[in-house]
Amino acid sequence: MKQKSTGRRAMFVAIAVVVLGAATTGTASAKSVLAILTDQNPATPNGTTYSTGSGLAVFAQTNGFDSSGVLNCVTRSFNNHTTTSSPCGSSAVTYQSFVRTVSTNFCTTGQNAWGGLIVACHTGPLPFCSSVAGCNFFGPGIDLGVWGRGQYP
Amino acid sequence: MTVAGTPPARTGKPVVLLSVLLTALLCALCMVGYTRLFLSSTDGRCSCTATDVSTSLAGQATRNESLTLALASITSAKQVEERFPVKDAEPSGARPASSPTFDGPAMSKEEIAAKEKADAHTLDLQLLSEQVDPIWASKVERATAEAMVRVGSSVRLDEVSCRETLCRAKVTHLDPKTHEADLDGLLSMPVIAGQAIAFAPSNDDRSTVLFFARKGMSLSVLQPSMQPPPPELISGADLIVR
Repeated sequence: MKQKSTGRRAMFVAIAVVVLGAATTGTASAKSVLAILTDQNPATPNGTTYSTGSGLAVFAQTNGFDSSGVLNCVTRSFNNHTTTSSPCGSSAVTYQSFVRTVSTNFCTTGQNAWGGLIVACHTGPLPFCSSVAGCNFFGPGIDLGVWGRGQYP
Repeated sequence: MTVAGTPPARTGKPVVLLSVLLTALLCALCMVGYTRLFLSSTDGRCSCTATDVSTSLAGQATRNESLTLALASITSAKQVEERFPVKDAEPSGARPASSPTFDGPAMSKEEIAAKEKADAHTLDLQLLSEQVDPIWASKVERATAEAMVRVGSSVRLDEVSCRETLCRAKVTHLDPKTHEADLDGLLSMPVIAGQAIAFAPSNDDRSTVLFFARKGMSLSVLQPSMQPPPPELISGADLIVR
């Protein structure tokens, strides 16, 4: 009887360890940030890229920060299915998105906690150039935006 | 009852193994379901790209390594986000074949430099003309100094000055090799809650002057010209109505 009890206890411990371990690795080690540049179609990159009048590419960026506010991971997307990313590892706990060039932030969202919530901002009326329709003075209500989030892929 | 006579099954080992396998299978199914459920609601291609890269190295980075990885990635991303063709651009600044093309009325280097100089001067004058909001200004100056430390040891904050709606930070880059990554780190500081713009006053990689607006405020140089656009440049394809 004692052997049977010991075997059941071992089985329970093993299951508990596996479940706990899987849950931990599933939520902590597989994090990423998502950034989408929005224009005509806010849900899907449609191939149209944008730049400033001085020729700098405009892109959407989402950063992941650790609990100390240190930049931990980044994703950029250019609306033409071109995305560059760095891995989040397991420590990123907040995220924030931008519409920007290498030297300018046109808009910045607030920081959000991880877990599926989406943050968004838009640039307001600014002059941008489009890869399909030349340069426009984007008027009120006509602008570029970003939505991004931190996620567990 | 003797221990020696107990069959192996009584020790629970096969049951444990079976349990491990079943649990692992269950977890895998849950993760696949989660991924499909949440990622399919967004753009699949972009999220998958981000996911693939992030999971490949997930868990490797320590805190300091994470920062290095992030900044290194930003720097490597430079290939994709290089300036689109600019008049008089040098061959080294040409975009890679995979980057988007653009044939807009880009400015020459001289025009860009002149505009940046004028914009920096405009923001300098605006900063000097503002009253000081003592509470907000001191809070943001302190937060900027703290955030600058986190950007890394390759940048040194020489001065930060905030007034009512605007801040200016003067930064020296101690390592020209990390200039691009440092610039990204500056623009990614959590203290920046709105528009921001970085200038290189000496036209080299040794210093940066960063202006950033108070949350909810705009930088004057990032406001559109009041001149209406030429009608032939307006295209319905570029319009977004929110």
